[in-house]
Amino acid sequence: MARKPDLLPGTPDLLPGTLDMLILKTLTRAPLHGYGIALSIKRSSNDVLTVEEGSLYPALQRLLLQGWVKAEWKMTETKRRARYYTLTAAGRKQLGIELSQFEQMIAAIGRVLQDPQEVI
Amino acid sequence: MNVFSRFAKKLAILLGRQRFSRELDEEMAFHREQAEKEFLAAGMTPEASRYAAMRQFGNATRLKEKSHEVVGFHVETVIQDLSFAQRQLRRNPGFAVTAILILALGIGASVAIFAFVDAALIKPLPYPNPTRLVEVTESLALFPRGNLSYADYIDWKRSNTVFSSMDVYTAHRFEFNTPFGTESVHGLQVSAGFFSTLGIQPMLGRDFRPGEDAPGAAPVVMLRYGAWQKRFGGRPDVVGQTVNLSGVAYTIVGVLPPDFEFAPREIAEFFEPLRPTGECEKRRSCHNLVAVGRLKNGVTVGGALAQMKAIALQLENQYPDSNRGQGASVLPLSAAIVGDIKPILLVLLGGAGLLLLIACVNVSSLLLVRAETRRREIAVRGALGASRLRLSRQFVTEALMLVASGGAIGLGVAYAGIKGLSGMISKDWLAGMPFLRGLGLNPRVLIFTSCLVFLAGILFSITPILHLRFSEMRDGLTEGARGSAGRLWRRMGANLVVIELATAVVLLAGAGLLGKSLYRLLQQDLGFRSDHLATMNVGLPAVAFTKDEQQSLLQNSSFNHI
Repeated sequence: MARKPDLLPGTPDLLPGTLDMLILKTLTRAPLHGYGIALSIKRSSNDVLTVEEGSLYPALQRLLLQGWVKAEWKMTETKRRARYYTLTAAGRKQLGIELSQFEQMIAAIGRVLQDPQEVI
Repeated sequence: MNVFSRFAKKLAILLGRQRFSRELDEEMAFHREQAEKEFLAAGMTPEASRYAAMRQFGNATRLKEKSHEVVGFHVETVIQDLSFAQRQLRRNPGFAVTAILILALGIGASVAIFAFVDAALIKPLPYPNPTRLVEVTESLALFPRGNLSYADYIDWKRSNTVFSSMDVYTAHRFEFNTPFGTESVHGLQVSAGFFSTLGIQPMLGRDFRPGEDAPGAAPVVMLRYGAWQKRFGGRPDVVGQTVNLSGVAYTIVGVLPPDFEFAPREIAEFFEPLRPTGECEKRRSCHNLVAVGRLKNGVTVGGALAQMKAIALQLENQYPDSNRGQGASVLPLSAAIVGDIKPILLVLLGGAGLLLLIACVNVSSLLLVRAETRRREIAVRGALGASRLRLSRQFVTEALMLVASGGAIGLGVAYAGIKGLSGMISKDWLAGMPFLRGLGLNPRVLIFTSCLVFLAGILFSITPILHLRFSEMRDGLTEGARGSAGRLWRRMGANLVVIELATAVVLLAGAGLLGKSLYRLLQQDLGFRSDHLATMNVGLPAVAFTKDEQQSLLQNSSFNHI
């Protein structure tokens, strides 16, 4: 996969298609603004996963269009206006679907990798 | 997944585009500020942290574009094409104006003539199932369509098995008393089932009853909608009232609907049942009626004609004195009504079509010339990575823009043309062609226009695309490259000129011949001088002038007074 030059070396890119799931999962705890989502994903992954802004905001628009999240302008604790995203019921359902699909895939990949016949 | 709600959301964003942009800006600015603060907290200098935040964030415009792509429709490129096409046309106003005007004239002329064709030929009869209606008349060697006598009508009606109903009408004039004196108004005498044969229900009151055309029945009359409005103020209580017509008190029994027309005769205002009481109706040799029949299901016009001829032959044997040489004629009612003007209209439509063809050929050649001058531009765009599809779409967009403008202006031209042309028809003619009253830009005419525009659009899209064969696009970059493409253009251009000249010659010859015929017609020697003559009719109430002596007395005194 092509790597952006401004990323720190060694930072792995996200698996394709997992960003939506990560955003939805992050929003299950509390409504967050875009920056908060990026920060939360970064912290929860111990700085391994960095969400690029270039993919975060288009992804948020996509989720809005699907009706999986709602957006609302609110004040932050520092009295700044920010757009907060909230998970909707449809979004919660979608998260369940994506999680189970993801688990299936990880399990499948795991089986392939542990196959003793295969010499890597 | 709810496609509809997603579409609605996209639409809402499209409508509130600026707000969407502003919010995205604010959101991203907030993000950058937060990142900056974090760098600051980590011990960087303010300037360094700002740069770090900006670096981390990347190209803000591109980021915004990505978000726009998610919510945008895939029409953005179409809009781009449109605005580019508009710029191209505006940069070349001479070309644009010429092409659009030529197209507008061509389309306008065709549409105007088509409106007449539509009114006269496509829907001439305002009755249900008009194709089942026929005109039935007698025919003689001298008169292919001659009037029917009452006695023959009765026999025809009784013996035929091809019509579900058959009725007759004849023109009649009534003397109607107005505050300004007596007026002679057009009317129609019809057999009692006439309106039900046509399939017309009165909008007020009732139709004639079956016995009301018998000799002793009480006088009743039905009104045309216009007469009801004009002479009776549109009062709904008019049904049941009596009206004095030609000295006889008639009971008004019904009013016909506003769209009712009966084209073969002048606009009749009053309709009365035809009673066989006059001198003419008693004689088999007196011909004063025209019949209208409704064909039974499965019967063709030809089948009906065969049977009516057989009946006529039988009557000829039965009454050799009065019916010698009398055959029968059965014509579709629409043909009987519009018969005379059908060829005229078709010739005109053909002429207008040829004119449109010339217009299209002209615009095509203009487009070809322009495509030639744009070789370089196309080559550069191709070299910069525009796909063939995208380049072709550019031509299609431009062509569509041309024909759409041409079509829109053409509709205006057509409207003016229809008004002008129908203004040129004399009042008397118009009265005989009530179907022309439906003339105008109705949906069928609009569909016809769209078809023309569509076809022209295809033609104008294909011409330049054919001309610029994209495989040779790279040649366009080298100045002065005129290989096979130049040859192709020369060949196509030459062919276009040939087509155009041929069409123009046909049109000119046709117009010349028509002009010559008209000239001959006007110069026709009638055998008398017509420039100082006038004709007139005098209507007499039949009740007051029953005897021949009275009539000749009036005639003599009138002549003496003139």
